[in-house]
Amino acid sequence: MTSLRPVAGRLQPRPALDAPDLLAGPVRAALVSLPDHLAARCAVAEIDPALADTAALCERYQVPLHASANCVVVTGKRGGVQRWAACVVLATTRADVNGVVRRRLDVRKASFAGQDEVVERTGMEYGGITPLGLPAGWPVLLDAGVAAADELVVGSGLRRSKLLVPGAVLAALPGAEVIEYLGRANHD
Amino acid sequence: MLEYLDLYVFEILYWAAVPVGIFAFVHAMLQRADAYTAADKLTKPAWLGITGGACALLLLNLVVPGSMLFYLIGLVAVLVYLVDVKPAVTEVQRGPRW
Repeated sequence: MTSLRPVAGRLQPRPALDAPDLLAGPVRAALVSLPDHLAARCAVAEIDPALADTAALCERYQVPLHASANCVVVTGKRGGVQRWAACVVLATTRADVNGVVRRRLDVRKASFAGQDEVVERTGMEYGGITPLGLPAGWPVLLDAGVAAADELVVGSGLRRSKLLVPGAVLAALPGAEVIEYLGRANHD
Repeated sequence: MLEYLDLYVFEILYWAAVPVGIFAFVHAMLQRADAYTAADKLTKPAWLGITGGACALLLLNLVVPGSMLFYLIGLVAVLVYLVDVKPAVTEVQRGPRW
């Protein structure tokens, strides 16, 4: 059977709400709290947890790199207060942490949050970090290309599955902000 | 022997630069690719090329007589990586400090 979802490659997606065991707790909660018509457009596919990282995933499951989005957690301090944000960029680009993200967070220096800290604060597995279900109050910064995408492969909060979601769902998340040049091309 | 002291000193500097260059290349290899963009530096493949090419020049200098210019170019490239890029790429992956 061929998939009706052009970006799915060899992934075998099914409705995300029907497979709660393939979603991390906070991700499941975020999906349930979405408006029904948006939640219905989200699918989940089981994968080999060893292939959760983007490059390996795209190669093995034949997902186009431009249909895969990475979610990185960025943090910085201002006046002794630590600020957090998630950045979602297409896998063909990299987040401009030191430029637009640093200015948006209004911190002196922005950096990737450490793996342990991210796992602890999000309740998601490293390699499965996703914009859905992040802690309340975190800005979810989306590259314009992410928000405009018909469908993207993103994390599910777990290493053993991926979500397929329209960019419009990500743009409708609490805290979502579309930033034109969040992602910078890999070559410059 | 003392009259050739300068030559010995140069020879030591030539050899010592090679492990430094290899260290820079290996360090560049071990960093996550998006850290380079995050730190506002050239991409990871670009820095792998620069430090790798620099290692080749530093090695070339050991076998080809009179190639000190290669040595200088290679050394400068390695030092730019170690002094400018390495701290920035490390810091952007480390999280904030008080």
